[in-house]
Amino acid sequence: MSEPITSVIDTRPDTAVLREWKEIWDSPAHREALLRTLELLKSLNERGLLDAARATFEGSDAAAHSIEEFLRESQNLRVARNLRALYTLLASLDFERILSPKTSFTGTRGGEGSRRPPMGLIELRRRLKDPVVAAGLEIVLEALAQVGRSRKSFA
Amino acid sequence: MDGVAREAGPGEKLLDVILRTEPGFPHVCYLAPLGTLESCDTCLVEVDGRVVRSCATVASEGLTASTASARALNGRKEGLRRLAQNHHFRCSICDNNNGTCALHNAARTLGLDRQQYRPKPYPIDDSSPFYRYDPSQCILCGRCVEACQDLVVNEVIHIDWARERPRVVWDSDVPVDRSTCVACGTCVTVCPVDALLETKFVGRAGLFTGLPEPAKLAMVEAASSVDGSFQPLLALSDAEAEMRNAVIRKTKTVCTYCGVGCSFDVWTRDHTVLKVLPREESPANGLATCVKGKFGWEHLNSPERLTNPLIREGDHFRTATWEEALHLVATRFREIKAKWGADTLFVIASCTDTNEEVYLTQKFARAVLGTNNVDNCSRYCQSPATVGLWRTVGYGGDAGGIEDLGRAELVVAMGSNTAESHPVIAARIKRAQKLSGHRLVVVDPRRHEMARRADQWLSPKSGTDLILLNAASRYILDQGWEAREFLSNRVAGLDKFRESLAVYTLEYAVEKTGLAREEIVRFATLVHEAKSVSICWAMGITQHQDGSETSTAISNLLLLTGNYGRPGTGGYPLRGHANVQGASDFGALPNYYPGYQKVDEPGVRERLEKEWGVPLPPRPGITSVDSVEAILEGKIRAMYIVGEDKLLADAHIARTDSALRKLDFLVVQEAFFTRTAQYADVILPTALSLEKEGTFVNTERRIQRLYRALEPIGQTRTDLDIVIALANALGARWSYASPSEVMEEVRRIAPIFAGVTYERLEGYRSLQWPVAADGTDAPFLYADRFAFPDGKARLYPTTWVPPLEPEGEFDVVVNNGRLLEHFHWRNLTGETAGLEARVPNMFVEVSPELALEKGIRDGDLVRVVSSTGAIRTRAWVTDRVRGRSLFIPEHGRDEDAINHLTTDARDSVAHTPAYKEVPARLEKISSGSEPEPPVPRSNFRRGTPDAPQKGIRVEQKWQRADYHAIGG
Repeated sequence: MSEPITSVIDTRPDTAVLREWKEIWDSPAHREALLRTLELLKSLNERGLLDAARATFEGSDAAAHSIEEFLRESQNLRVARNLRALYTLLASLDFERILSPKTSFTGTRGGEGSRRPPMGLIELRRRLKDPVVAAGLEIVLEALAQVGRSRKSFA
Repeated sequence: MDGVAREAGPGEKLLDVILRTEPGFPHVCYLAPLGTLESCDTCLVEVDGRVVRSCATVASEGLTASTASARALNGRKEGLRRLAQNHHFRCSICDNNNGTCALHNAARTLGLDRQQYRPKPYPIDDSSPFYRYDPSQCILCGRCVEACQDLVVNEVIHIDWARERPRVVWDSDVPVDRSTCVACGTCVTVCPVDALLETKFVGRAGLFTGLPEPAKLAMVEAASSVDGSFQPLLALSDAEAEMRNAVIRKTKTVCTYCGVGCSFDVWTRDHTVLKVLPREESPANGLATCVKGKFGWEHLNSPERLTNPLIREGDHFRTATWEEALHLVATRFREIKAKWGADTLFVIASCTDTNEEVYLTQKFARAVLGTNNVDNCSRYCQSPATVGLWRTVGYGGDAGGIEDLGRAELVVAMGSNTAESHPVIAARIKRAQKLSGHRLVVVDPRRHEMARRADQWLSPKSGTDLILLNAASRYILDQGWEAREFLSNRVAGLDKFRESLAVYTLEYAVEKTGLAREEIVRFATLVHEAKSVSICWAMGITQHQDGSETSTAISNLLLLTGNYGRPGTGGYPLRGHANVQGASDFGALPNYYPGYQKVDEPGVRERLEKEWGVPLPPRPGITSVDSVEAILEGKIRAMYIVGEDKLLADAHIARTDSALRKLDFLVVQEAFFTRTAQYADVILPTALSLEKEGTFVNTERRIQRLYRALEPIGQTRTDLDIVIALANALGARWSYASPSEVMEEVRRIAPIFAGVTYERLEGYRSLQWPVAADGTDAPFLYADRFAFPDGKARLYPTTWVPPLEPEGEFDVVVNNGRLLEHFHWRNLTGETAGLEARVPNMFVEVSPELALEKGIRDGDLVRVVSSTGAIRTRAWVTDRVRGRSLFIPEHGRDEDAINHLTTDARDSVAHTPAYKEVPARLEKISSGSEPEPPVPRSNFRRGTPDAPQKGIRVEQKWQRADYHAIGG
């Protein structure tokens, strides 16, 4: 005759690994570190950062493939090249210096009186003849034209 | 097309032709199973100089189309630009960024590089525990509406095109959890973006989607502030989508609940189910699911799961090692067999186990223990249906597939609350009725959803369905409406059958069934007039004393009217468990070996003895139902129960309780600490379906593979591993390396599975038995011959068994059955918080007239008393039941368990208990605090439905002042 029962007693013996963990746990210094580590892991896990790290390690090939696919398209490759060129350009410019009212075009710091006068037509013409400036201007104009075209297609 | 000749099938849409060679061609609203919606304008092409939607254009002879013309391309871009006004591109922090977002993919293909996003002035609706709707991300494509209205036909949502900013609304614009939404999740499945998402998925799918909302918003703002193309950002999100595959696994499986056999990809992260995603190629369900299959998986991580073997020790169980537990089981089985004989042992196989596990369980009983005392839970439900089909057409399975129920001009649903018990099948029937004008007759005592939808609802007195069927058969014969040629060529026994119907006059039927003469005549006429008739039936038919007889009468009526052997015809018993069909198919029956080979048929046993290498017992065993009596008589002394809560499953709990107490030794193999497990001497913890490899057979005889999505937790093992270990502990020397090896053995011994291989079942492929050695399967039975030696079906005369009727103090009759949200005793569904919250308590449905008589209001505490016991529960006054008929859900597991009331009456052939024949008494105990139905307001039954509609009414969009056709 077996009466229905609901009580369960966990009688599993400690394994060697469990014993080892208990020893570590019993050490106050270790316990403190473990608790902090666990807290950190919990927090990282809750915010998905553990998964992000995991995915970075395990999914990097697929992601790289996806980027590779993206770059295979000629216009996207151009984006990458342009980004690189843009990066180089931006790195070479010191806008603070260029735009500062106290900065002279000669690059020397000085007072109000040292500022150069506005560029005249002759000076503008002279500079436009500079092949380097002309090339830069062509890029700007082409970019503006492209902006106009794309605006039109998604107006 | 673009200067190249292309071939197309008859009526094929231009878009489908394009997609064959250009799968990345933009299209957002179009999804083949939903048909053409025409709401997104992203698939535009130029045809004969006109810009048209390729999804709505039929590819015809001589048609000239261009996908590449500037007008077509600009048109597609314009369509996309308009969609983008309704959806904020923030893909890298979007949970739906999984490579399948139709909008994202269209934006990449068309090179969308900026958007003019206009947020809608509506908050997110996250009132449902299962999914949430974000109007501001909704592109109004209408897929969800089409799915709800016309695919699964729950008819809850629509787009309110009249608003300044249209949105999807539930019923008459109420929150999701105040609506009639049954949470089947099909809308979520088809949503192309992140407007509708599974709650469990939100914040958990992506690498950055779990970040705090302010951080995510800052990222979005930073990205948006960069003027110019966001194509590089889309590319980065593609990379992020790829990286998600490292943390999210997608595994094909088959649902663990009812017998429909829905298959889907289950997306898991660690040991958690994030998403269930059915696919177009899912053979039984397509894109449809029910709330349990879509959202009911929290049991996998329930703290209530058994994770260690347990051994009874005095007044408690103690944890044990597997070696210890298996040794104890083997020792005790050996001892009892030696002392009392092998036939004092009894084995119950699980209907939610895989076929391979069931096969080895029955083999364990026969070849290791040496007894044919093995059975499965089909004994409690559909065995009578199998008897009816065996008698008349030869195979104990559905005549065709689920799609035949959609093809039938007339479906008769008998004793089946299909919309709640088999919702995905109900969807097929409802769709055919709504879109194709097919007819539906429902024969059931309750006015449930299918009854409300029916062209004819018949509610005969409990236990008189056979009389209705036979009276209809006789009326058809009297009118000369029988299918004479079919009967002459393909059916035997007409004369005796005609004689057997002599008593079933209309007058007799009216007297016994309580139906009007006109109702019976109309029923017979509908059957006669329909070109194809399918009858599906469930436990409202089989769980009567005459369940086998009524099942036979159903098949007789189909034969009489020539409704077998053609698409859309035949008999369809609706199986209730994921693998209840397979449990019988693979031999967990006391009188049949795998593949329905009779134990006592000459030559069969000898063949199996040769294959298995051991002598086998010659006599058939006893049934699971009879085992209770056998225990009480001392004829059964030990039991091995796999995945069956026998205490709650058998009729008459008090009697089962006495029997289980009396056993010398009981082994329960379970995932949870069930009521039956409490009686065990040893409990063996098992893995659940997502933790297994193997196959299931669904209600339409379809064999499908399930793959292991998760590792078994704790010390749990699969039933396959356990039964192998147990057999070997008893000296069997089994060495199956995998479930596929088991299947290889099955195909050698069971001719109906001769061609079943794992390769042929790879992925979403499936086979419907019988399967010939060359792999040819049988989606449709009886096209040429019936499964009898002469190929002819049999009309089998039937006998009505009067049911137990209310009399004396027991003046009401108790009906019982399933609710949509739950399964069995809630061991699984009770662990999913959302399901439990929708139906936290059981109840009894009381008709308004009976409630008036008894002074009962909603929520009152009542007692229902029968000759065997009593239950306490809350009352719900509703017109779903009539007169003196009560309905109690079968999911109670404590003092509200239905089998406290059921009796020992049973079907005399299949021995299935007459669960549906329970005379009882209803007593009010106390009033509730206020009249309130016993389910919460969030339960869909308490919602108020809005008017259904066909389609998404996209023409209302086109009529809006702010809509202008693209391309003229």
